[in-house]
Amino acid sequence: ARTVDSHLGQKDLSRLQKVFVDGFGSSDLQSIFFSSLNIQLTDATQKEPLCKKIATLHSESKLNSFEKDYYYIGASRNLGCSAKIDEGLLSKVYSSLNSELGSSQEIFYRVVTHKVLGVEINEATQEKLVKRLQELLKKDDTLSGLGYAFNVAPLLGASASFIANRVEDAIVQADEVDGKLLQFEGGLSITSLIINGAFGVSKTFNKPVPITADQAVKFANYFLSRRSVQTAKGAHVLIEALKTISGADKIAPVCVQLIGNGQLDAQSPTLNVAVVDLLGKPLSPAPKVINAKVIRKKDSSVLADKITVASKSSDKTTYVADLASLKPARGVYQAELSADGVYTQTLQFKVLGRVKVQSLEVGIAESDASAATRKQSVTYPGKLQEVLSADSTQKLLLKAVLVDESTSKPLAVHQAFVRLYNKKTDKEIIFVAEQDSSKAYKFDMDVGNNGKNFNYQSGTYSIYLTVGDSSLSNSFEWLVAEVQLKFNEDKEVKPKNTSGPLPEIIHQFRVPDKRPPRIVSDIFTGLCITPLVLLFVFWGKLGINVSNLTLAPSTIGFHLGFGGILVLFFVFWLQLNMFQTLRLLIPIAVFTFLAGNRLLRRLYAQRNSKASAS
Amino acid sequence: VLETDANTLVLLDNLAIRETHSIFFKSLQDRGFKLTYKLADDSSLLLSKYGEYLYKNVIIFAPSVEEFGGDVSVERLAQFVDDGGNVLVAGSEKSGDALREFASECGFELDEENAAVIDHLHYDVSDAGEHTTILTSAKNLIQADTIVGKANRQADAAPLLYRGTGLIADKENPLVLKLLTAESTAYSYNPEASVSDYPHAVGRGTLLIAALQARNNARVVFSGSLLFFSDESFTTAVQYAQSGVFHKLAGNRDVAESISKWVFGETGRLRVASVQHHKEGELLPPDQAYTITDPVVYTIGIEELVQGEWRAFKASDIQLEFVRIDPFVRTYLKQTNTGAYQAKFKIPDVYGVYQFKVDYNRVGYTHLYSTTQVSVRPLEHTQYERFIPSAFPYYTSAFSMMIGVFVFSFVFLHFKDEPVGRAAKEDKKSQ
Repeated sequence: ARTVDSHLGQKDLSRLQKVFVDGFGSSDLQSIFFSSLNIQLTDATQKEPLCKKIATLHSESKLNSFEKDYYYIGASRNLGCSAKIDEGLLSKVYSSLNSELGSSQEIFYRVVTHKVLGVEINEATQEKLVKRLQELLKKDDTLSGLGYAFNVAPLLGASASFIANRVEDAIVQADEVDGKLLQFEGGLSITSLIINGAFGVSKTFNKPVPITADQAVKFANYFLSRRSVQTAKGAHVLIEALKTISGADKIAPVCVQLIGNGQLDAQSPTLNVAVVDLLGKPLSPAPKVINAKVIRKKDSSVLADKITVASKSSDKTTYVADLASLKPARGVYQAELSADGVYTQTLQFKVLGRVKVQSLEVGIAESDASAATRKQSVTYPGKLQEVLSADSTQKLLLKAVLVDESTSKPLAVHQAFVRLYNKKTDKEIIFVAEQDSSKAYKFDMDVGNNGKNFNYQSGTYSIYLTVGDSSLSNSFEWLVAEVQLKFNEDKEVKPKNTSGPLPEIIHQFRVPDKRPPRIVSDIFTGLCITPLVLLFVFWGKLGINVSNLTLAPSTIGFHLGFGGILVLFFVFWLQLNMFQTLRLLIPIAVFTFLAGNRLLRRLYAQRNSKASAS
Repeated sequence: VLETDANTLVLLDNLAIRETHSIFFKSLQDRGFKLTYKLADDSSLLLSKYGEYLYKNVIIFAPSVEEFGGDVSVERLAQFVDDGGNVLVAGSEKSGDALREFASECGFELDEENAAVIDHLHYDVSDAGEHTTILTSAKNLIQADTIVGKANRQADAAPLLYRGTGLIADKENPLVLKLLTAESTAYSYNPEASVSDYPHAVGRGTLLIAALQARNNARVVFSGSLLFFSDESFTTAVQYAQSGVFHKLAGNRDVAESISKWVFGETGRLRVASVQHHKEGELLPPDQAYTITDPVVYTIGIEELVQGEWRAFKASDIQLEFVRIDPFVRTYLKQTNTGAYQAKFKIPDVYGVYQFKVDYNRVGYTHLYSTTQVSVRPLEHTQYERFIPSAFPYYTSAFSMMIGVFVFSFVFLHFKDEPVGRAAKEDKKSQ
């Protein structure tokens, strides 16, 4: 109760400081303002450019007028700018309280601007603002509205005490996360706004603290979980909120945590506990008495019912308990701490052991156990000189006895793996070694049956033994031996290449068949031309004549047409396609047909006239 | 990011995650994404309205969700991916059933509840004692610059901080990518229980971050660690507890940013800008078909999305295939001055219906696939060789017959018989 597991440590504060430094370098008026609240610049050469920058940013900013006015004036004051703030702007700020302000946010920003300027607001104006605030809250009682109201009320005098009645309304709207965090919807800014405001109201108007101790723990856990916030405003409101919660009487959580990572060496198991406030500062007053009950987690046995965790004289935040006299065994323990009966915390720590390889044997055996096993011992951290060899009819054996270095008793570890690694293919296969009845770790692998796991990839594999446990301080990976594995070659699986270029394919055009010698075709050419030649020879002997030839149009036409058809065939062979040929053939054919018909009729008539004459 | 790809739904276990992961979300917003934050079990959740998706991307930083709220469900998310949506998921050792089911839809398997990746040799000094806050070196990142960034894989790059559960991917699934694996000494198991059966994942088979690029180029990234993307891991110095090696910052921030660029389509994205093909020496493709052995020029414009702009893609391993049922030609495309890729080759001497096919599938890039169908016809008879010496006998025989019949037609039609009288006289003399 009333404790958290962590606090804003020095590392966190350093990083948040860097957020503020970065804020000065940004082009955001709000960031520069919040950075100036947290960092005191002394270097004039840094100040002047910043003063110019905020003036420019103020005129360009898209924030609400009341908000950017506050940031500009506030940053100007914090930086100690020599330039005077514009009279027109000041006049606007001073007269703003006389106008009808639109929201509690606006009231807040105008009032705090006056405060920054060191201007007192008279009581009549305060009364008016309080009345306005009451009116606004009737219409807008969102978390944001309430938050700003809480923050401005303490600045408006006693008449604003009505706001204290609204605190509980706001607090109940907090969302719980995982039973550990409490936050308001809208995140860090809203949560901080409400927490700071609620505490401010309670303090100013003498009301009880607005949250319970349990709620304080959860809000603190929320803020601590936001320690990595990246904005200057966020960093500022985070620190402010933690300061507020940490400064609260009676409910403020404190951080009780282990120093270091909670891993104690078995030789000198000293428990170091830090007791600090949320910002890492010593408690005031420091706890007088811190007692602890130590329980082994595994079986809930009590190692010590009550031990004193003594304050370290050199450091007010550190408390030490030496557990050496208890002789804790390796394992996980829980310490239930109680400080002055008010702060209680359960811390888990671990006493580490050290593992030692008492013996390790590696060897090859026949799968059918027909022959004796050939085992060889290897001493940690050495490697077997000889390269082992095993094929698909054999199996690989390994046996290791792991003991606790201090007690020399067999040890059970979380991880006892045997890794077979092929350097050439960069592939690894891992097997789990199992403990036998004597607590020794054993591993055997039938090479033939495990080919699939290796993709039947024969080759040299390195055998590594990996021993690890979260309660060992010397987990290790050990190269034990090399083994040549031979799988059935025909089963080897070639990895399919799903990515990357495929082999190029160049089409092999069909090569024409080799042609016969020219002389052969020439001879046959001659033979083919022979009938035509002989035709003319024999005609010459027979005395063929064409004496009946006349030059009638039909005669000429027919022979021309017939010749044309034959020439067309030749040209078709050279270059025409069938359609072109047919288109040309049809008119020629018709002409030839008609001419031929007339020719034949004339010849027939001639022949008949001769016959009748004789 | 492209305007059309900016809408992103963020599902959270609780609103605190929005703040604990503010650096990651701000990085997305700075790049132009429009993030809509919702609780994962919010009853008003909607993925689509009137048949149109409201979002292009979904981020699920809700490890313990058991059932999504509203209109969102595992089936709807799977459909979302099928329709081209991108999803980034972060689980943890307390992953609920919803994430487990969605993982199996995508080809991954999350380890059982309470299982965490354990590495007794490579863990961070900040580990609480179970060796589950592990460090894995940058060389365990996938070898793909577009996914994890080139600088993040350098030999001197910082290790990556991880606390969460392990994943397994189906070995047979070619669409799954292993973005980040653990060291050889790691395994995934319940740290509170003894190892009595074979762990879900061991060694470098332990997937820490896995990805799926679907056939439609939708991308899903699964991480077993929500911490991986948190402000805490982005801003924390890391140190190996056993060896004491120290790094000022873990490499998580840059890797997470690179992965988010890839999964939401800002990097590793290709598209076909134009495709042209024609005979060599011509400007337009043939009206009907190519002819066998035609010299052909194929040009394709391929663009890559770089910083939100489409620019000419640079690569030397893009191949063109000229395919009927099987590829007849496979050749590399060469980049020209204009940035387009070109290939010249001779069309095979086998006719049929072919496709110019560019099938570029490289890790980290969208699958680029382009096919153009063309017909190839055999030589027309006018295109065959003439005057083949070996064929001279055939030419001679055909043409000599033609000449013969032409000449014969004169003789046949115009032959004049000798007078009968002379013949009679000859007969009388001989008698």
